[in-house]
Amino acid sequence: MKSINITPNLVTSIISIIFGIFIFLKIPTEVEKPLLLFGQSSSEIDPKIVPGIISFMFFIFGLYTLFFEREDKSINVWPSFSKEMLLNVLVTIIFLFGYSLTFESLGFVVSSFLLIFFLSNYMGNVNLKFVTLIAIIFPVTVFFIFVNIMHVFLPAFPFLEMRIGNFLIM
Amino acid sequence: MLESFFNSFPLLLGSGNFLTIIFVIALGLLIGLFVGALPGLTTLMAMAIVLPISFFMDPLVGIPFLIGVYKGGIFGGSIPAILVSLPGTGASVATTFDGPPLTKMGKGRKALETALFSSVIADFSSDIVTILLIGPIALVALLIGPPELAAILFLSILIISSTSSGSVGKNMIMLAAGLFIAMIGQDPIAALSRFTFDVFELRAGVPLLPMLIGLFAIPEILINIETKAKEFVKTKLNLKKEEKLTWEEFLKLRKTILRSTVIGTTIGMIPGVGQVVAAFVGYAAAKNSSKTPEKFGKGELEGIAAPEAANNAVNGPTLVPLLTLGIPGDNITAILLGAFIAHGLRPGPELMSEQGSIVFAILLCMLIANILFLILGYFTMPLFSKVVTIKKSYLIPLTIIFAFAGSFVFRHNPVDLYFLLFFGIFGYILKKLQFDVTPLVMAFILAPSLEYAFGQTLSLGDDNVLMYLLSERPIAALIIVSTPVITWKLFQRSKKLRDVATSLTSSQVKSS
Repeated sequence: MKSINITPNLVTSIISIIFGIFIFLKIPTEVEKPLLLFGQSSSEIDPKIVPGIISFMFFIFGLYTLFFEREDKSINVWPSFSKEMLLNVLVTIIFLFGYSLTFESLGFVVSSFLLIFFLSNYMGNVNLKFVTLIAIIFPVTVFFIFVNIMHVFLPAFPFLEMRIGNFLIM
Repeated sequence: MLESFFNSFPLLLGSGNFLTIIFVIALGLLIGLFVGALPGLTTLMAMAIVLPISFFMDPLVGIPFLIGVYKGGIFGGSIPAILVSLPGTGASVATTFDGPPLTKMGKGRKALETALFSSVIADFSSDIVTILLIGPIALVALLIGPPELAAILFLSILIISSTSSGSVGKNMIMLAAGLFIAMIGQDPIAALSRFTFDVFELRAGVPLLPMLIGLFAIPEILINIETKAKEFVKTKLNLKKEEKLTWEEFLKLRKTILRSTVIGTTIGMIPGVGQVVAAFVGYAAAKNSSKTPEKFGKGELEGIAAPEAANNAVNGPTLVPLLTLGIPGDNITAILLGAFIAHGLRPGPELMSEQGSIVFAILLCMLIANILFLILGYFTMPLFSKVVTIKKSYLIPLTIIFAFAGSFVFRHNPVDLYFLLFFGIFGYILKKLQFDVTPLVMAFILAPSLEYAFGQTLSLGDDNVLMYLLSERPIAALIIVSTPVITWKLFQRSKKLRDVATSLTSSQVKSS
């Protein structure tokens, strides 16, 4: 018996077909019904039409990929990852998640300092004094330009706003 | 249209903004040159990151700023391509064939000047073609109604999906994904909630900006982080000591530049094809018409002029469908569309009739950008040739800061940072699996207009849309009927052009 070669296109096609069916099944509950005014719909067209078309597209293009491009040789290989590559990407994503979490609570300058300092060190080959300097100067400069020159809001340091004259610097 | 064109001059010169415009274009060019010169970081990423900054400027300042980044980035990519055989952007891959051999011969400066002059001449010429074309096309566009618009938008997203790189099936799935993401939130006709899964943050829909930055900037950052390389490149170059391009050498290149300008301008008008293909086709055409094709790939100045002129000539014409019909031809114009929308200028037929003078003023800024590009490029070339040596461990975290700050400032909503992160990881996975995100982004951007026009058409057609189209909207019916043929023809042409690029690259790899 011939074994099935699990290619990225095969997986993509199956996900697409399942997602198409999922959208179709969710249409009754996930699409709000239009109000009835004097017995007539307030929407001129049926709001289920577009979601229906999209679910059909996922389904049909999934089938197309399954039947015609499943074994496509040119652009159908799994990416090769070494353990180190995977670790680097995962660690960076964790750093980014942490940055998103602390962005507002610690303020832009402090959270950015932490990200620059730790990520630069993680990536290696940095001069500790230099990277500390960059991690301070760069966020303060960006904050200063955004807040004082472009008048755009960025979260300030929550415990103590730091100012030089009229200018908010942290 | 002529009135709008003439009104654009006082708007540009008498606004009191003129010096600011010059300054921001120059700043944009320098940012573009810097990012473009860094291998691994692309113009697209630079534009996505600086996009939010442009929102807080006047439209006549913010959009030229982005145009500066765009133009600077495309040329910036050729600097490492010529000096160290690492293309800064995809558009400069063809430049790596002849650039590094010239650098080895001690002609790096000559090669860079060839790239600069070819880029500026081609870009300037194609911008003039754009200015000349945009008026008549806009006049035709004004005649179209909802059925024709729906048909054109549908045709456009199909063309973009079929001409994008990669497999057709995957591109079409990306198209469906873009439509699905755009569907989340409220429908544009009756504002009915759909596919929010009772998540409050999804009620207003998926925000464009974190999605764009997430899909275009974060995947590149993650790819650069995969290997903790200590610096981009180690090189000891001193361009100041090298000889410059002579007038005689430049004159020999004029036919090549002209040919590539025509190629780039034509390709620029086809949605979804873009600079990379233009550069390869320009290179192939120059090689085929050369009396000494054997010198190509071994250090031929024509081998620099041809791809550089072709890829820069694409810049202007891609704006024609964007400004007249609201259809972005590629990812970079999709970002520009985001900027236009944020400034309250919705590209499309009405924009040209209602605010034509602003559009022409922006197009004139492109010509100004070319002149500045020539001056800045010439004098900063030695400086940007050093950029390739900057350590990645310093640069990547700083890029992340900009991406996050940019995503946050538009709505001041911390949830946007999670959208950014989600689309960043999603984009990274797609990139690793060789998906082209262009159809997704295009579908996301065009979906509201398409759905609105589609809804209006259904409403106008009452109970019998087919009869309505056939009897009252024959042009819309004709576009719908010819959609499969046009899509198929353009798919074949784009495949052919990509095959030229692939065969050129593989033959170059074999010979080196």
